Amino acid sequence: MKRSNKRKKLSKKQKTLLWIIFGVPSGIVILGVSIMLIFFWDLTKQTVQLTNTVVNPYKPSLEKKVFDNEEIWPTLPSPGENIGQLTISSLDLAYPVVQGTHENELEHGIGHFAGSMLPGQGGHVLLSGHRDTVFRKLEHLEIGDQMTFETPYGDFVYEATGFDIVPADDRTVAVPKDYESLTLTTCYPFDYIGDAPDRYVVHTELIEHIP
Amino acid sequence: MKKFSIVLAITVLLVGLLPFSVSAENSSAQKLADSIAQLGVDEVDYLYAYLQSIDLTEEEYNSIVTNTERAAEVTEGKSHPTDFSNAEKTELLSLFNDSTQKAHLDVQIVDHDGNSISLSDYNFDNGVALNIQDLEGNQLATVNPTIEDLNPGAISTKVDAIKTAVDAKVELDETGEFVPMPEAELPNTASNLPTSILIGGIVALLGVIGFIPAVKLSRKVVNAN
Repeated sequence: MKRSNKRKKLSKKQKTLLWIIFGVPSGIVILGVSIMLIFFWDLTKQTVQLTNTVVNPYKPSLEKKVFDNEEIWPTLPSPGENIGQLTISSLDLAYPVVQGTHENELEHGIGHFAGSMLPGQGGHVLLSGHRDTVFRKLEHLEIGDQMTFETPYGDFVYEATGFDIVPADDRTVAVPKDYESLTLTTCYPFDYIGDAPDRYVVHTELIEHIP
Repeated sequence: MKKFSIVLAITVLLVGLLPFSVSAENSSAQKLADSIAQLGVDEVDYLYAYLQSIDLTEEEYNSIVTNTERAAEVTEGKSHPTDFSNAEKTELLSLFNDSTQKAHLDVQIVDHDGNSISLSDYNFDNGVALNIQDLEGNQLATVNPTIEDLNPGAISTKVDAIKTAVDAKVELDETGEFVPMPEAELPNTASNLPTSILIGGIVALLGVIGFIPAVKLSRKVVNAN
């Protein structure tokens, strides 16, 4: 009882003093813990940064590999690089051809499938394009119609030999061939809204190479 | 007669070896395509072509092989991501970074909007993806890692895939020409422009329909006065 009475009798000055007495060490503790936390955070960040940085940052050669046995296209074009122009005069169609068939590349023209051969290499060349832009008229192409693929290595003239409609997950069209041919593909049906379930395929054969 | 026999023997040998050579080429091409797919990339074709378009030096090749062997040692016997010590996690990340650089690749860590993020920011609210680019900054492929990819088994598979890919690349280099992909799905040429135009049309139509009650209501208001 006496003790509680004593407490009540603490003056304002005494209370302030008590605040200072306990406040100073408390402040120091908070400051210390804060410093520890800040530097611990920094240490963790630095550790992660170190793992993200190879000890000796490496700069490989920027030169492209030159294929010894390729007389034309001795180096592969980079994605988005213009590799020529496709002209189908019967459809009044002429668009640039770029390397690659991903979304970014198809915005710039007809895309050359990077995993396929290039004209003149004696294999299967595969070109794809949007059905609502560059290949909008492809459904009107007829067997016997000719198309010219102008490249830095000459003009390659192909003739349409047939058409196919295959499912989107088909894996029988984009395959290597041991003879020169060009295949054009686009989404099908032509008036479909959204991701079309099929692909429209135009088969051709090489009839002339004008160097 | 003797000359004829020699010519015949050589012809038979060449004809016999040709299919073998083509089949070895196809097998290496399949190996390269499969190993790239095992890395979990969204599209295989650009990486497939790019790896054939670069000259790997012997030092780079050896370094990648050494890294993959070391990574295999680190992952051996582990069954859960928590089995890795911090030092092992750090080492795996370093080995990965070093291997991608030696393979002439630039791997950027980005969020799902494509904005570059730093691992040290610890801000992964908008997801994490790995953008794989060539040295000119061209986008080759994207990996969207899942939590399962952190399992030692998955890491081990990917480590093996890197080793198989560079081995296949070296085999294909010996042909001296570009070897096309063995088989692939046809490119997706769909664009969302028609869908967006349709949505715009529907919204505009709804707006026009909305004029009907608006006109009726306005007439009532005018007549009431």
